[in-house]
Amino acid sequence: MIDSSIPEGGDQATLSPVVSLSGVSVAYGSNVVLTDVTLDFFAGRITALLGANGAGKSTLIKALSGANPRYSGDISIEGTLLHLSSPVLAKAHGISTVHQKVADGIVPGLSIAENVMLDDLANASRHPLRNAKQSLLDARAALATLGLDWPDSLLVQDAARLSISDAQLLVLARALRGTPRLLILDEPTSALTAAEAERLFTVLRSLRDTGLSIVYVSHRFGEIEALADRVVVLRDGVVQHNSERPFAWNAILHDMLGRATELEQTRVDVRRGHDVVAHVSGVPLLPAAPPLDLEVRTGEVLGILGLIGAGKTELAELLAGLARPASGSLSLGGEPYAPKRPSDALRRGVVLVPEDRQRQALLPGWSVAHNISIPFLKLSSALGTLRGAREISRAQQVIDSLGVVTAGPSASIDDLSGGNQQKVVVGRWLSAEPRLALLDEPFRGVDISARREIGDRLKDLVAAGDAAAVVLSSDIDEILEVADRIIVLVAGAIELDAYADETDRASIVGAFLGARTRDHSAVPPEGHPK
Amino acid sequence: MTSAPLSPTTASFAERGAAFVVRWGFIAVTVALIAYFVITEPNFRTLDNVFGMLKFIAPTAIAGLGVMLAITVGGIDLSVGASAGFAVSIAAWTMVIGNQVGGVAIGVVLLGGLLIGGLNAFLIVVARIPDLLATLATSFVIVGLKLLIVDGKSISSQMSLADGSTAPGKFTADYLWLDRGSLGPVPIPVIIFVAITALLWFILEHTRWGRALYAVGANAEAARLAGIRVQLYRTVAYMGCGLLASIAGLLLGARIGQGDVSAGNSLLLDAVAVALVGVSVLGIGRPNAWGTALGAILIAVMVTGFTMVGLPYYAQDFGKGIVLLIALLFSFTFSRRRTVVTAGSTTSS
Amino acid sequence: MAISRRIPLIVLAATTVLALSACAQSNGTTSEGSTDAPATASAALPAPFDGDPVKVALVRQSGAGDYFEAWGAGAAKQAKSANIDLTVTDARNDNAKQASDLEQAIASKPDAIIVDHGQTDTLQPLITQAVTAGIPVVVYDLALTDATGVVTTSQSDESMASGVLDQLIDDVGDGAKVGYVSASGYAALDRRDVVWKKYVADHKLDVAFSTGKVSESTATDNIPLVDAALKQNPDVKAIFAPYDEITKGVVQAVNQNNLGSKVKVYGIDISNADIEVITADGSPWVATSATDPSAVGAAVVRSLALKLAGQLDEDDVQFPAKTITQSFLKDNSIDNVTSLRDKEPSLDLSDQVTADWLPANS
Repeated sequence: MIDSSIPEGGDQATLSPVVSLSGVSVAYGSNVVLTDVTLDFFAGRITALLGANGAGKSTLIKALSGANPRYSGDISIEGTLLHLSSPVLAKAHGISTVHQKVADGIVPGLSIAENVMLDDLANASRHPLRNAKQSLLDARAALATLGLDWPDSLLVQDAARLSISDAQLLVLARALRGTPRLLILDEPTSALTAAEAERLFTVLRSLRDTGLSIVYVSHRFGEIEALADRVVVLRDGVVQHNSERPFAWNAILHDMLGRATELEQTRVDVRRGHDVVAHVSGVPLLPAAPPLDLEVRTGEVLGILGLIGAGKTELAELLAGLARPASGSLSLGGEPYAPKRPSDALRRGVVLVPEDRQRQALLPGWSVAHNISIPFLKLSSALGTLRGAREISRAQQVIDSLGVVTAGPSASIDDLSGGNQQKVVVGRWLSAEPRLALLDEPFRGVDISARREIGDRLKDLVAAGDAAAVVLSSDIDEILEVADRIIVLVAGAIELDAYADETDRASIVGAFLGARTRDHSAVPPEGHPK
Repeated sequence: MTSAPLSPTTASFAERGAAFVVRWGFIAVTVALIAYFVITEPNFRTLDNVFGMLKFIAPTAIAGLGVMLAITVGGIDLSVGASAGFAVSIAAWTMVIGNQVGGVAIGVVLLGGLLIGGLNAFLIVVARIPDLLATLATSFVIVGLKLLIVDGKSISSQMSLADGSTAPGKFTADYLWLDRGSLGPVPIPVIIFVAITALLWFILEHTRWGRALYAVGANAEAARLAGIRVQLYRTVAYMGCGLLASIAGLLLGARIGQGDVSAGNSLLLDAVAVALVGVSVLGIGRPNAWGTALGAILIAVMVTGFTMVGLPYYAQDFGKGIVLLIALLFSFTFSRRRTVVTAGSTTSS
Repeated sequence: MAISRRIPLIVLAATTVLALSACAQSNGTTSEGSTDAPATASAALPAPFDGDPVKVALVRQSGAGDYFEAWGAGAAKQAKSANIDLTVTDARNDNAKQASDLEQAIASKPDAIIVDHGQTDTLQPLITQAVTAGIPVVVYDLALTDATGVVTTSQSDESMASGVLDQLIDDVGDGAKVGYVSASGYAALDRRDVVWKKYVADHKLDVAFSTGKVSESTATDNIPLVDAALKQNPDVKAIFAPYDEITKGVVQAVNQNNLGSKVKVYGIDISNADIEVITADGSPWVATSATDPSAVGAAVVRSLALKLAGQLDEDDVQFPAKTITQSFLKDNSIDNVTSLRDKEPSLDLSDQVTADWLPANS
């Protein structure tokens, strides 16, 4: 379904870049999220931007689109050095961005035509009175750049009624107004069907042929294989890979998923679990995914590796009682397990360290002790009356066992660093002495020492023999470091299930790749395993 | 952080000063006001006046404690005024038309308060209507229902009914005791006010149920993942609010001595104001019972004191508004801690 | 740092409240800033008015609206000339607040209390309490079930209502189709209602609608009610609206339905604003019954003063009313209450409850 013909490319040496970045860095406080990025974007080229979560893709896009003026280094457009201080300025200099969430780009209640012309509302040089007839004409002209011939009767309809793919095209048409020189597309196909995506690709190819430079962000290798002229990989804020066709997919994946230096780091203490504590049978994790079967065993740390949309969080929520299986069943300790809500899961000894610490775990403004005791209010009270001493002693145990850096149990959680907050959250849940501990992206925004500390406590937990831990992550190194058994999850299906000493980084990467390419029936990349 | 060449002691003095003002500023204002009135107005410093003020503010304070409960779980309840007015008319209807004793009227009213709270909870928790809008709508429904029940009329003893007969009952003494009775020198409404405040303070600060209520308000998602039945606690908070509003209505009804259809109309804004003032008192930064009570007392002091010095009522409103503004400045602008008040769920997410 | 810069701001804001109360001393309620020279007394003030000011609490149900504003101003002016320190509370139609106000007034042990309007069931126990505490009480327009020891004063609602209703019957005749806009639960309105019911029965009036309410903005709130009633019954000949705030709302509703020439409106009470409405071109308001509210307010204070001086003969004082027609106002080019008083001298109550040391002063 995807046209995989090799796009023609000109001789790069003769071209000067449309947009050129030199030594661009971005730091939030002491946290450096983009380091010394030097890149050129050429006219008539599609550059694919790849990277795992938190690799710095969106930071780079924000800097380019003027949404984050606090970058250092130089960005020049057609040889002129500029400081992109606002989205309006970036747009005025020909950099147009289509953000990932199409819905955020559509203002419901305004007509389609008004939505196409939305930028005019923020443009002080435009006449403040809106002329309905003129905006219809303008909107039609803008849509014509995409070859769209929408009738006026459609243009006056509420934009909220557009299908997602038409909305995507609308947002694209808006981005193309004023004939940009660089078009940035962030995961444009994430909500589209294959046919809709193909329609978009045709448009993008013809735009490229008119000389537009396009930056295309995607997780879908098949699309990139079909569309891109160049692939740039970011990891930990650094450009790890920058190559032209033909693409060396194995190298790209290595650069994307992990540091090669850690490749040969071998684990000597891999445990083999014994009893099955939780059993998932025939449950589809995603609407379109096949039914999944999975066994979680006591005495081992299970690492589940998957990118965004693979079904990791869905699996965690299923087991923690936040969601119910669409079909199939769960069992826990050999008995049927159908938690209706988190308290049911908690009662059966299943705990979840959720993905988003701030939103899902912390109680802002509360003390460390009160943050820790919140699931254990019953244990911390007598006849309903809270006993402060019990809360303090539980908190002190957590602080001691995980080495939380804090002034004490009574300190405000807001005063702790991100890593220490995460230790508090993990410690809170491990202090429940769970039978099954689920940790969804537990190492995000956590420094290496906190990560080691948390990993060690997980190993302690399972070493006792009758508990299991599941770490869900999109970072191969985190998984290799902490997991005894590794599962690669792609699009809701298990692509690999092996003990850490029976597999290696290459096989894990291969498992990813196999699934990805199979998914999109693109040209099989070199080095495809099996 | 700062590049200014401030010595550490100067900086920390300024910060400690600010923290001190946030923590004690409000109480200082109250004490200063009281001192001023005590000095200038001989009538202000009598025991009679102290109890008179507390009695006067008791219904507002109790309704304010109800609003505080809703704020505790991150919501708001704009139907307390209507609920209190509903209670007044229902109490009158039960005694005067239904010819029941005061105890029955009290029971009916409290049940009605729980039902109204339950309706609010249903609309907010189950039907997912934003709290601000849901309770605004129910307040109209409640007022309308009240007027339908009483045919739009104030119910008083000896009133003539539609069929030409005279109403059989009257406001009974046991009911009127709610306003007119006293234990020693302390009027009953003051006792109820203090008892409810103390009870709510104990529940919120010292029991796991109170902690859970606060957790729901601080971060509902985190509370849910911690096994707290978020929807249950929100329901309980709104039902508690309805119950407290109906208690406020009972006191109002006993004070008025008839089923005044306009009763409760002026209660809502004061009740919301005292709950919001309560958030800022002591720099706690979250709704709390004693703070709410103190906010109510401050309003009573202002209204009484300003009246005694001869300030007209419209200037009193101005004074109340300034106090509320200062309270909000303390809560949101000057306080270092994050305030958990959201002005209704419409602003969250 | 930001916080240290904020401190002066915090202090400034906090002191605003104190500043407010500090200002209060200078604008006490005893002076209403009158420009008229007070009428001169021809005799020295007797006890208890010859020493320190006599402290009187005036507990009002409402002070809003032309009538009540004029009433309050008249009372304040009379109080000043009689050496009375008047402390006014205004419950803004909140009956619970009025009860609290009265309770606190009793607690402050004044020399006397005036209660202006209110609900019987609400205030009766407190008034009894005040009497028991030995505080003289004068009530105005408040029906009491037990008036022992209380001076009751009122406009003669019966004479007001019957005067206007006589005019109504003269204008539209027996059996006419009419409307009624009033509210229940207010002593004066209830008394006027009794008269109304009697006239309806005696003259076989066809009452097409009865509606109306009293609120904090009575005039505005009655417009939609009457508007709806008129849409339903555009053929009524007359509307009786026995309270001028309501009457004004009725006039508005009649005018916006272009029924000014077909529907006659009959009100009760009068004020400068009312006169303007009555004498406006094409106004449907053809007759009202009037006392001069500021004269009444002053007369109530005089009743209290005479009572305290031991010179009041009767404990029930009624202030007589006059029926004023639109044509009377127009013929005499009357455009305010002062000129009305000139043309209709009996309104100023200068012969009611006075003494040589206490001339009428409103």
